Amino acid sequence: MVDNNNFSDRKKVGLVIRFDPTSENEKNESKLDEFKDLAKAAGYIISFTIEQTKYPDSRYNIGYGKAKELAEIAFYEQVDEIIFYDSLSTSQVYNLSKVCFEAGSNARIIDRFHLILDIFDTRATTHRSKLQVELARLTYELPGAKMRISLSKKEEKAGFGGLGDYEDSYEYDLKRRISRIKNELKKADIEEESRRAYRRKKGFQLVSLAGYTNAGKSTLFNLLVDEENEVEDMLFTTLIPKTRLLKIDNHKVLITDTVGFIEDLPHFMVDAFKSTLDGIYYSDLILLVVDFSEPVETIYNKLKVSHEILWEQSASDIITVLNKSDSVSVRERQYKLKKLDYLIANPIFISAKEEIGIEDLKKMIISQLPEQRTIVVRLPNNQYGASALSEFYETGVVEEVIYGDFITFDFTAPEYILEKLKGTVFKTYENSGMKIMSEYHIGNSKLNNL
Amino acid sequence: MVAAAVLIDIEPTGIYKVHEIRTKTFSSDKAPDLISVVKMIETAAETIKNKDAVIVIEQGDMFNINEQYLKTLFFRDVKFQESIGERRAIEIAHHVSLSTRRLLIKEWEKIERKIRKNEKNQKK
Ligand SMILES: Nc1nc2c(ncn2[C@@H]2O[C@H](COP(=O)(O)OP(=O)(O)OP(=O)(O)O)[C@@H](O)[C@H]2O)c(=O)[nH]1
Repeated sequence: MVDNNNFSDRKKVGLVIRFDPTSENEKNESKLDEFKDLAKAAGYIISFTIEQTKYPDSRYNIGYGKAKELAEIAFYEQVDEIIFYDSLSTSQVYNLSKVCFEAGSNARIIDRFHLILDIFDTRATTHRSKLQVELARLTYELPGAKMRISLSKKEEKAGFGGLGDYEDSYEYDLKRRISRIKNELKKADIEEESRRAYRRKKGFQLVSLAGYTNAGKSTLFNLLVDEENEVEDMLFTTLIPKTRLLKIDNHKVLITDTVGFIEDLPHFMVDAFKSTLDGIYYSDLILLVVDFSEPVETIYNKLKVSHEILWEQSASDIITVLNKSDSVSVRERQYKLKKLDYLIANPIFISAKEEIGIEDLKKMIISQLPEQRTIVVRLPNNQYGASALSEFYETGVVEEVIYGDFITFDFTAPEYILEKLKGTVFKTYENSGMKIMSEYHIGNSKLNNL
Repeated sequence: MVAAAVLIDIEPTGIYKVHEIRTKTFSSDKAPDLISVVKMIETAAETIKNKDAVIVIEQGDMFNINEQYLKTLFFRDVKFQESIGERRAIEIAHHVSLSTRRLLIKEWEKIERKIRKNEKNQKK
């Protein structure tokens, strides 16, 4: 999601996709759709798309005639980038750039993998995931490094003597940088761990939005995080962008929007992709957002891959959020649900766009989170009490604070947090008159959804 | 080789209940081919009381053949793992067969040692 005021910052791009003559039409269409979604996810404006059905050409990927046509359109449309669906070799990039240059266009030629890396880049929020993304980028560039240099230097070659040395040292630099990043990653792993532990200790419940690009995650995220619900917390919102602290009833929930899943990710990108999903693997609850308006086969394939991604590292509960149900008839919904029920955990129909089913979803989220308990706490109204109070604020929800001879308030947190507090805070302030006045449970009514 | 059959009720994202676990051993001098694997799985599945349960198999264990072909090889209803629940079930079966195999090898080594000792004693 990109808002309109940044319109001028957005890159204009052209998309080029090549289909094998033997490929199925239906598959090609979904390929093209995904390609477009990716470009949109990167915040690009798509000026044009070019399709060609042809076996790959070793010099231009598409045919020479098509490449010339592309160059003219690129010039006419003044695009900043031309993105190929196929992975391009360095010499293909060079040849295509040359054809474009001759037609007057300075468009940068990249392929889908660069595009995906660009998206990861914008979504990589932690130090670790940034490193992972850079590592993937370098790994992708390394094989072509030598070639790229000699191509770009081709024109100047006359009089340029020791080019071989330069190529070697460039490749050497890349390799050195790769090994440095790998070292740094080892360190970053530890930092991440401690931050995660910190987050846990504070008693927040982590909820992640996951799902394919274009399922409607951002729309839902923005809806859940309207001003009414949002709790200002500079620490988290600046530390982890795309994460907001919400209060739903008495639950303090950290909610994170994650980068969309992408089909057919090449092997070297998997780590980078997973690192952008870090949050998911540590969440208490995952909202798997599914575009339920798609054909049942597409939904099936996407669900299958989602389960594959989520199963290894995550033991969290999953709510399957069946989005865009405004554009699916009730009959169709039931049919799809029945067909896929073995892949759909805790389903709920919503429409993020029409804002239907959001309240039910919130109730469902709460019912899946660890049970909360509220206690009434009394603190002495002095400096000890004040510092104890700030610890309560950090670990759970503090309400109904009354300052009198004592500071009295309702404190709500998950069971395990309360137990922990009894061992620490209560011990520390025991002698200064701190007391639990009463305890009561907030019923976790399991709700009937659908 | 040890094949493990587990009868499990699953949910989309996990295991609801484990009803039964059975193991069956097989031995051969050479690595098994596809048909032998099919036979082993069918034999192991026979040991489970419920004969209507769908057999969920890991694709990697079946030489990565496709699912349509897989279905033609079996008498019973079979499928590859898809959901998290199915993956967890397979995971259990793998753990069981692996630990059974380890146990058997250990026990077998013990017996071998004993036999060798006896032989030595007899020579004396
Ligand atoms: N009809 C319908 N369209 C929806 C609904 N929710 C989202 N959309 C549309 O789906 C498109 C994608 O929504 P996003 O929220 O950007 O999707 P996303 O999953 O965040 O995608 P990425 O940011 O690319 O990962 C937008 O054009 C939305 O307007 C819905 O409930 N009904």
